[in-house]
Amino acid sequence: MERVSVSWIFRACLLFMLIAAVWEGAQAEQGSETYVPGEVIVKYADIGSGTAVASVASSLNAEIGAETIYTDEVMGVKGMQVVKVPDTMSVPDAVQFYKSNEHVVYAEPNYVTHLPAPLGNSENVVQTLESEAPGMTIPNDPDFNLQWGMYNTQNGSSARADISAPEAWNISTGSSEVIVAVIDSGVDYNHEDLAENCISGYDFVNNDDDPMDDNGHGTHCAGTISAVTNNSKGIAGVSWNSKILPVKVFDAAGQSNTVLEILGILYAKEQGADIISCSWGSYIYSEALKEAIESTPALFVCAAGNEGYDTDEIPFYPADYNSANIISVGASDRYDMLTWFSNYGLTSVDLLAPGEDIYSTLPGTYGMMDGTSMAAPFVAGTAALIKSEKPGNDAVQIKNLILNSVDQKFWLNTTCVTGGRLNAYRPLSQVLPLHAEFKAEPSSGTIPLTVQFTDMSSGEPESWHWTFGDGFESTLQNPTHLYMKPGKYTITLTVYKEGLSSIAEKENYIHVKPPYQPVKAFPNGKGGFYPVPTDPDDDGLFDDINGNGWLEYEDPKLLFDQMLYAIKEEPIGQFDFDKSGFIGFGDVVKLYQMV
Amino acid sequence: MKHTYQIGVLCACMLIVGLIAPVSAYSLLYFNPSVVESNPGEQPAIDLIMEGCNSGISGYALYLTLDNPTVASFGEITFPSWVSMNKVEHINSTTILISGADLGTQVEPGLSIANLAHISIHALTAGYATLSVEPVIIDDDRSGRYDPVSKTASIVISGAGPNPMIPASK
Repeated sequence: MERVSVSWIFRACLLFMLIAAVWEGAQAEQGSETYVPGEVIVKYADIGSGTAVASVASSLNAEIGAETIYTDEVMGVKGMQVVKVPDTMSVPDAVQFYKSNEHVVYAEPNYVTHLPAPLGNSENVVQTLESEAPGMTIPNDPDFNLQWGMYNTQNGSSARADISAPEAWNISTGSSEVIVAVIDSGVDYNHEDLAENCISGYDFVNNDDDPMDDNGHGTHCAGTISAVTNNSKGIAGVSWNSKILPVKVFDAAGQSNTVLEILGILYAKEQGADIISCSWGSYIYSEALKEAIESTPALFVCAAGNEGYDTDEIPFYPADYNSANIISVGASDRYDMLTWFSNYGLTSVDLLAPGEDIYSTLPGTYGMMDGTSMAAPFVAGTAALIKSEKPGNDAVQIKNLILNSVDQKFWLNTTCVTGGRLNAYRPLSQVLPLHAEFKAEPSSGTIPLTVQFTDMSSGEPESWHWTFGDGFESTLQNPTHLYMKPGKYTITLTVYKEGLSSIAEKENYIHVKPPYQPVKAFPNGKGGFYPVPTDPDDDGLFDDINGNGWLEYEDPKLLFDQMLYAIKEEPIGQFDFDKSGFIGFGDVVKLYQMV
Repeated sequence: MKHTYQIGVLCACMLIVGLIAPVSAYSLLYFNPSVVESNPGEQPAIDLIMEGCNSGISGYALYLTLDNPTVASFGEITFPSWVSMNKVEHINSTTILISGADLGTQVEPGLSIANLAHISIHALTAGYATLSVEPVIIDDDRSGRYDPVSKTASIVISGAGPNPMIPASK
């Protein structure tokens, strides 16, 4: 009876959560319905000449007593104007009025946008940095050990949950010819770790040329993108030398609107920005904002949003416009998991990047922030590095290079298009004259397994460094290696030539299985036996102890219950999950962890 | 002079023993308390402790024996919270097999002493019984296995008459 009650309470809770989520989603879809009073963005069709458009516009404006406050020249998009309608007419009515004219492509309110609210209080987690490994460049910035997103030494897995920045910096530290516009709350351009990389920007909130950050959000984003690096101060930026163009469109309270954003985009375009970082957005679709973005050749790196929504269902803009020059970035944590707050979407979010406990610059100081706002700058910085090496690449080419070289994780398959987290090194290695590549034969077999590794690198490397995943290394060009323990091994090859290096890594590439011996069925404790254990993933370990075809909690439980039987009757190799060389309780614990 | 030399050698030996002892790998299974006095009908309890588990514990299987079933028998066996998977199996009238695993990896390397089980005893009649432990396997967290020394416990059940004598050899 009690179990039934608990079950109903649980179902009721689920129902409540579902209703709450749907309601929240509906709210998000509708937006907060806030817009700048009296302002409407109107886009006129191309009707031959500017004079014709002006004529239609002035005729329509006169009809309702509206006046043009920004012409299409100011807005930077042909036919787009911003009008001020009289107080006697509501904005929705004015929008409807303009839309009803055959020469108007669209009309919409000037929607208000807010910067994401700060998420939680992150704590500084200091890492112990390893000494500089071959193929890495570690900067001397004292707080680099707080920047796990660049170089994460805390997660013990063989694959690091970071963007491989030290490896990327071995290829490029960015060019001062590349301009990254930070369209945000401004930037503290006097900051000790930013000043050298900041160029003159603009403040569209106060309409002056002083884009000083009075909020903090923009300065944090700018630091990750391009803090002055290897200067023995503060932090490292992804692109050490790229220039930051501060474009202030959000006020001190983190508020902006579509018109300011479009003006900021036009300004960045005019200043020659190659990359535009947009760590903001809303759930309201704006045709005008989309058109402004598509009229700009720069690559837009946009935050995916912080509400934990599936943006395939509830789109977040500008990240989710289907424009070819937009990358939508979700946030991952230091364990390569989607963060609790990040929006996700199998078709709407392109990739993840570090977005939790991100340490960067703040006005006059430094600090931690969380959010997809913090993830997007990692991608913007990486795009700047690529642009530095390949100035001729356009936005789509840079985007494709980034998306085709993420670190894929199977558990991220349902979170974004690429199923992976940003890797800054890989896209750079593809544009290098030196490119590491290798093959191995055989790549699987039973112990003892002798594997022949073959260097297939391009660019005629001069030296080689192999790691075989079992602690052994080689500097031969085409080494042979003998594996004596079952397991899956990740192989890396680093090749060097005249100061350049390139790394190729193949995760779990060599699969060494224990020599096959028949396994026996486990007793069921009632005088009978379970089905014979199986090896569902064909790794040589029979982790399906009860033989039902899959791994579950019952498997470690059965191994625990029948430990003495296993020790006596079963072949060691197939049940030695913890690689101890014998069957024991360590295998129960390991199998439980695998479940 | 010869006397002084002998004292010097003795001191050197003591110093060497003192230096070596703390680093020697030694593990011990014992009961706490080591002597339990009770009366028929009561249910005294006793803890099984492992000392020297410096490499952590992933799990264990141990035989517990009460050698005089007319005097005392096993009651309930309970386990500390770190033993997140456990089992008690009755082998015969005097012996049980207890097993436990540390799925939450709570007894990690560096912890030198751990409580393995809490054993309740049924005091049946006046007399004497010995509680002993025989390890089958005790695995550590570093792909190794312990080979501990075991100590017994004495269970003394008092009757109306004189208390039974505890055999000196135990």
